[in-house]
Amino acid sequence: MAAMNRNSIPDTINEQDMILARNLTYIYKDEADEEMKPEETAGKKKEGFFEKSEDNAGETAGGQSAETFKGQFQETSGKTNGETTALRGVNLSISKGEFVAVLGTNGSGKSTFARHINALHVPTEGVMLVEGMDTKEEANVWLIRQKAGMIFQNPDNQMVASIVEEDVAFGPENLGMEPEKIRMNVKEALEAVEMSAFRNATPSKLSGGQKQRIAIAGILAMRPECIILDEPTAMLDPRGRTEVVKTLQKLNQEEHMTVVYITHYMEEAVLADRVVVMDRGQVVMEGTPREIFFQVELMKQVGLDVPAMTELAWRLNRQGMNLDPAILTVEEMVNALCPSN
Amino acid sequence: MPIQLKDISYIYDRGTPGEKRALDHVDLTFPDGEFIGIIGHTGSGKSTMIQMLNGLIRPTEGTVILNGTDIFKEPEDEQVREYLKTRFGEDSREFLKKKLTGKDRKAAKAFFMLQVRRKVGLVFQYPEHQLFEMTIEKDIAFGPGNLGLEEDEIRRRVLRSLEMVGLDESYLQKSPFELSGGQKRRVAIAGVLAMEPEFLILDEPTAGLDPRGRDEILGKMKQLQKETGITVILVSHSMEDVANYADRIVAMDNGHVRYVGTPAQVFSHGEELKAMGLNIPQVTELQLQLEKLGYVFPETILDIPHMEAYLMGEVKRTC
Repeated sequence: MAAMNRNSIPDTINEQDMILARNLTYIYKDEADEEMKPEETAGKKKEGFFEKSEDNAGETAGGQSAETFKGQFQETSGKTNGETTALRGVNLSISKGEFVAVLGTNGSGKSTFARHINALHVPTEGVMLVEGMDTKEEANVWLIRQKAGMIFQNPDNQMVASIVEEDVAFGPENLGMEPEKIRMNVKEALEAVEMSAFRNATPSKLSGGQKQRIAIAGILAMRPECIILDEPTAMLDPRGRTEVVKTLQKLNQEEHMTVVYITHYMEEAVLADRVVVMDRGQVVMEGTPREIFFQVELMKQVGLDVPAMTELAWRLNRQGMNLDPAILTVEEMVNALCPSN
Repeated sequence: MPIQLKDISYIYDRGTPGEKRALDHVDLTFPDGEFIGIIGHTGSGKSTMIQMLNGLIRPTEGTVILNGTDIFKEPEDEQVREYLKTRFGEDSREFLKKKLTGKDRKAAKAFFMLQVRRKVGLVFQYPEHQLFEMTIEKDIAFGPGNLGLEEDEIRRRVLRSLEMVGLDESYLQKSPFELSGGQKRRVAIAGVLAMEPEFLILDEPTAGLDPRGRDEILGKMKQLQKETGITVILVSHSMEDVANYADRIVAMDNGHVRYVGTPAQVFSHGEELKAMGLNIPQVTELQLQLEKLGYVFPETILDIPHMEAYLMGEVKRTC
């Protein structure tokens, strides 16, 4: 066993770490807590891969191959005495300015993890640090929420005012910012999401993608370092999805905003610097989109998908073609099929 | 019998500066027994349209015809008397003689609308938020219970609906709140199926579900449509989902129906769909790009297995 006490704040904190989770464990305890629980963590009986494997339930941490984490979560995830273990020793660090996509099935713990980043949940065991601040310390919570803003699935639930500008100003007002500063922040936030033209509009008249961009502007106006999005495109039409994703890419590239992006759309995860795959409350895979998605069979075993083009490349290679197995986009597939182009 | 929309228009906030035409002279028929996908950007009129199909929204202009009857039409005297007869049985004799009152007409109208809602089941977005009973059995039995059916019949319907959504008897006594998101959603759909509708409308049934949960729900709905002949109407923002499951696609744009046809027909309008804020499946996009480089495909490709088959030999390669 390592000398370091795994439940305490690590001695050395990397300056570049925006978010640092060490042995992060979270258990939903009673009914009151149940209310707080994101929809997806209620899942326990999953058909398929993990349940079918009858062999030993090992206790080792998640590995990179199917064999290593096969069967290890039997019995451990799910309810006992009204308790649900949603996170089971997550170790993860996210650097400043990184764009990280978090993938996982419903019930894998991604939303619970996200809620730890801005202290909506505090760890049952282990540590969560945001810019070096422990989320367990009451005194830090205010500042952490200012640094790490969160966006949810349903844009309608996130609108608080009847005029766009007022909606965006809501956060900074609550932080007690100077009116002059609020005006400036709101203006810049709306420019950043390209919604300045709608500053006097009524949020209810906007499209889903526009509403989500207003919600993002509301976070930006608080001048955060990090933005966490829990399936922000689940309810949007194709154009709305593109709008939101492009906005995030721009914020990440131009403003060096740290982005933690939870999604079920594999095509969106392709745009991230790094993909983290969660399963049964643990991080089971981590790497660049290419490193993750070319493991087609493994991804399917975790109950996930790969981008359509990656799957096509995998199938064609199985038939004897010799394509790069890490093809992610239509453009890459076209280039692979027509190299002279 | 199909549902027909005849020259339907719907105007929100009429007479105010915010007046908006959500549907503009829509003519559309939903034939029996098909799996129909509806796509369209936010605000294209999809939601307004599906709520008209079961009488929740009354069109400003035009008629909604179910089984040959205009669902919003005031019932004829004869129909009101027919209703009174079934409602009051033997006691109805005196009703039948007297002049019909406004109350009688209103009651008859409400009764006929209830029949429409039983025939056309509508599953809203995030239907699991509407689960409320202590057990799954009670939750699914709620609708049929309100129809005044016998215990045995209710039980039969509960079991049948549960099976249709791919859950077994062991779930009956569980609390709906112990389930995963995808399972909860399936229970909510089972509650609508227990009313034994002829049409099942699903508004974004897979939003927020992981790929497996998505395939499970859509696979079950496809199976249901094939085996029972129920008409399934799926509203979705996922081009892949409608391409993979629908027999026919309706593409809407700003209150108009732009395209109606098989997935191959509709998704052959790639550029137009993109201009409408929609998209085409990625494999179809690949086909478009390859065709620009000289590939020749005999038809519009919508899924990965077909693309694989064509690329492995049948396709004429010239690039």
